Amino acid sequence: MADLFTNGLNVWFLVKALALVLTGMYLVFAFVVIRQVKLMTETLRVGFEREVRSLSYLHLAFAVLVFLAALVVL
Amino acid sequence: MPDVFVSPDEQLRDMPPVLPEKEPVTEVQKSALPGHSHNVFSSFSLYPDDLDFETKEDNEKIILMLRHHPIVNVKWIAITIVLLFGPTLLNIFGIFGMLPLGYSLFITLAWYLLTFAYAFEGFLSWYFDVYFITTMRIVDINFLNLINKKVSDAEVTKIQDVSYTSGGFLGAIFNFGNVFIQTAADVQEFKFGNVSNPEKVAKILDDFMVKEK
Repeated sequence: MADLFTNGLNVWFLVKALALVLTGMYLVFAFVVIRQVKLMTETLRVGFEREVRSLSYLHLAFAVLVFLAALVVL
Repeated sequence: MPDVFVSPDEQLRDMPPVLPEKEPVTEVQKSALPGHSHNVFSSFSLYPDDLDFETKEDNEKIILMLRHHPIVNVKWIAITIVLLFGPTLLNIFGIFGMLPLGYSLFITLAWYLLTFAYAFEGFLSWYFDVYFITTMRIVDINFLNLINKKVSDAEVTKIQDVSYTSGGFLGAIFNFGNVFIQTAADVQEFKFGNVSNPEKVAKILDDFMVKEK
C-alpha cells in the first residue's frame, strides 16, 4: 500500500487527475456557451450571427484540445 | 436675461427634432440621416436595416437601435491584452523551468483558453445587450447570465417622462450617458445605460410623448 502511494499515486498523477476533472468541467461550460450563443442569435438578428456562432464552436474546439493535452501531455 | 434654470423637459423641447417628419423608406433617404449606419458594431443606428428581434411584430418598424457605447469595452479589452502576456511572464520568471516536461504546454494552452473565454464573454455581453425604439414600443433585451434572458418592453404611448444624464469625464468626451424612461407599463422605469448620444435618444422619446399628448 505504501509502495502504491510513493510510486503509483505520486503528486503529478494527482495533478493530472485534477487537470482532467477541471478541463472536463470546462468542456461542459463550452457547450453551455454554444447554447448561450444560440439563444442570443435567436433572440436578436443583428447581422453578425454566423461569425459569433463560429467563435463559440472555435471555443469548444479549443476546450477539447486542452482536455486532450491534459490527457496526453501531462 | 438668460434663464437661470432650464428644466430637462424644456431643453428637450427646444432641441431640433432628430427624426424626419416623414419616415424614410428608401435607402437613399435613410443614408441621408445622420446616425443611420450599416456597421454591425454600431452603438447608435437610426432606421437600421436587416435588424430583427424575436418579439418584433410584422407591422412594427425599428426606429433606433442602441447598445452601450464602445468605450465600455476598454476594460475587458485591456484585461485581455494583459492576460495574453501571462505565459510569457511565467516563462521569464522561470516558473515553467520548475515543472515537468509538458506541464508548461498545458498551462499555456489552458491560460489562453481562459483568456479567449473571458474576451468572448466580454464581447457577447456588449454586443447582445441591445435597446430598441420601434414605432410601437421601447424594448430592452438583456441576457442575465449564460442561459437566461430578460426582455422588457413598454408601448410608446405609455411613456410618461424622459430624462438623461451625460455626466462624467469620459461621458462628456465621448458623448454617452444614461437615459431614464418612466412609463405607465408593467415595467415602470427603463434605463438605457451608457448609450451614445443620450440627448438625441431622449429627444426622440420626448417627441413620441408630446405626439401622444
